[in-house]
Amino acid sequence: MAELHDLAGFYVLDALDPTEKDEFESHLEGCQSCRTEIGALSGGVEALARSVAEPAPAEMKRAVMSTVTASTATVLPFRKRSWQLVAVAAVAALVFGIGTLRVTEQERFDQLVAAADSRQVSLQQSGVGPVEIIWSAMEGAAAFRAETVPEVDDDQTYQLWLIGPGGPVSAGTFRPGSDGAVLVILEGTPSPGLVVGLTVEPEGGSNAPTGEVLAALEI
Amino acid sequence: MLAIMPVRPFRASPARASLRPIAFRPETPSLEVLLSLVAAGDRAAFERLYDDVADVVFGLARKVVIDRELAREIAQEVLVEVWRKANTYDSSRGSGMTWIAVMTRRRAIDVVRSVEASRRRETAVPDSPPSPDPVGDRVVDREEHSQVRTALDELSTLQRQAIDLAFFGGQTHSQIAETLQLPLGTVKTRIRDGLLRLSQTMSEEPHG
Repeated sequence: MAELHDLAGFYVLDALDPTEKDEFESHLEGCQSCRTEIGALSGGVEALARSVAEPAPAEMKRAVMSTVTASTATVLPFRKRSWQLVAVAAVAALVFGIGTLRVTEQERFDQLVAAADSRQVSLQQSGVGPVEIIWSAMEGAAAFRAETVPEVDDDQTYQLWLIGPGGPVSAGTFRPGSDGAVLVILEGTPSPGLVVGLTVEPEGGSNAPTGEVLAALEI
Repeated sequence: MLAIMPVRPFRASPARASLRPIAFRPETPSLEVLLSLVAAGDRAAFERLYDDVADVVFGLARKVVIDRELAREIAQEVLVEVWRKANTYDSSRGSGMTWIAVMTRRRAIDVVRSVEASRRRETAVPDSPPSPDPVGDRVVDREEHSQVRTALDELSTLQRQAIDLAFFGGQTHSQIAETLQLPLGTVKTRIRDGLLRLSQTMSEEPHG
């Protein structure tokens, strides 16, 4: 076991051979101290990588962005997976520290509802049926929930906007489940003056809202 | 920092709510949050992500392959790969930057190996055995970029050599032990301690 512990450094550097990597990964499942250590070591890899940063050629961005814009097809299969889950997993790791277990979207929602300062605002009639937002400043998050969101065309997506004094900022895109249910967790620090808006945008999302506002909630 | 340019006034009649207002600050989303948006096909998020990581990806590729043009090609491929594979990023395994850095390093090392392999085939000299580790040899032989020293100077020479060989040189622990003529256990400890030291350096002096 002690020997496996020692491999953590190589693991984060991706410098293990495939057999060792498999072995270490199964060890990782049951070893909390290694998981914790990996969080710290991976910070070292990040520092190492940042230390060699060098201004990238300007033409590189154009090349990458044009490939990305043209590559709609490769993104399609991923959309089956709800983005909210991915987002919450990522944010949860930030909130609770890398290495701890993920919380699911539903669990996060339950936490919000259960919070002592939990608040709710709902809109019975919107462009997508009833919608509501539940939030808690103590939990530092809000949930956007709806149950009857119609499907959109394949080349379109729903996009949520957080509209503050500085204008609308994207809070991410989503597609409803086949039953029309949507639960989006918005993690963030409360500050005054927010409206959450919903529009339909071209697939991939927009920099600023271009579609009709289907719902807007002030919280 | 994305400049938000409203395409047209955002007209909406907010729901009446007599609750105290709160707002979120998504203007500076973390790389991890950006990755989750990119996984959903959000191109605007990808552009922000690009701005955050392109210099690191390019610099890292260049550190491994040296050649600027080759580094640009690798960086470009990796960034497109980030777009395509953002949904496979697992935040429990480390930061978003670490994930991207590891991807870049792997691609760059693969390229060096295949370039060296084809060069060997072209100039095959039957009696001289090929170097088992072309990437590592280059790292040992070469002068380092000056800016690498800033972060790596915090480390002891041995820590630095070991990390350099493992990360930029693509060597395994036994290869490093052989190159540096050190016991395997010592190499492991050097790498681990060195990475922890680097991690501290980063949290003490945020990059910027």
